[in-house]
Amino acid sequence: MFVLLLLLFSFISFSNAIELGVSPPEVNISVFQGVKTCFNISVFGNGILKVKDVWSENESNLIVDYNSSSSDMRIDVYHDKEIKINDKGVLDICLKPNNNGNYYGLLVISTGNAAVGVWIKINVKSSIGTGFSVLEIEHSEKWLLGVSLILIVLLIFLFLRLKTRRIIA
Amino acid sequence: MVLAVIFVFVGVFFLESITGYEETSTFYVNVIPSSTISPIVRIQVPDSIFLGNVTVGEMGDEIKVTVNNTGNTNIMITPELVDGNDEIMSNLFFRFRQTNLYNLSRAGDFSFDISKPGTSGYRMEYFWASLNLSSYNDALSAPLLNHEADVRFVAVAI
Repeated sequence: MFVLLLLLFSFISFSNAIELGVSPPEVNISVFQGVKTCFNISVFGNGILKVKDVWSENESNLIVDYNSSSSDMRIDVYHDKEIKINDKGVLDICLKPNNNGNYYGLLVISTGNAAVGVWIKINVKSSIGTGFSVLEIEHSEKWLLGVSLILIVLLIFLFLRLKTRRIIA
Repeated sequence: MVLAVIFVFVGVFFLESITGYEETSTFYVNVIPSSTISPIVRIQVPDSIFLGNVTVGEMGDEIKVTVNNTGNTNIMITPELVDGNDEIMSNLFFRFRQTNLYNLSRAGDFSFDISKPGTSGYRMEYFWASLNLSSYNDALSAPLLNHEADVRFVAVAI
């Protein structure tokens, strides 16, 4: 009888309730600077949901620390500002970071009094290696290329000098 | 002879610079958890909370607010005032339990955790909310009935 009353009380307490969910609760991305990367998340709820993203310079699990915008972080973020779902929906999000480094975001999906957040952690690397480009060689290896170029010039100089001597001789 | 030595040096350095470049190629991938075991942050909150009658210059009663964790992971709930400029509702305070161990905190400064549900599929947790108008100085010419403000309960995984 007590259990029945408890269940009845629980039902009455939440007869006017909002339910909202999201999955996954955290997204970790490793991406190159200037490259657009997309992912999607599942959203559970009903009606029209608002979507916003907020950012923090430091990693934190306190939502009050997430008070910067994506433009403050120089990250281009693409997602719908509102989505309409019936029980379950999918939200597509794309990110294009313009600077390298680590970035910490919170994607907040809300309706009425309920909101759920998805932590976004991005590790942005400087650029993609696409071939034998001098510009894309990492700093630690630049000296090797420099020494090689100096030696090539020296080789050509010595070769020409040797040839000149032979002609004179 | 000199030329041959220099040629070997050049070859070694040039090859080193080229092959060294190949060694730093990075493979990258985004690994998505299997949908069958994906953690879900999901909450159930009341769509309205009545704070009762509160007299200007006094503190209102503490109202019990219940929130359900209906997902499958541990979560942290943070109530936040949607309009932080609301002169009356900016005096809204929260605390986890009605004991001296828990001080009243303003919206944004208060949060609490709810463990993931067991086999029942949900875990219920509650906290207390009260409107403290003891430092509210504006004189009202008439009662302000059904004054509303949106308080959003933000749930994140912990």
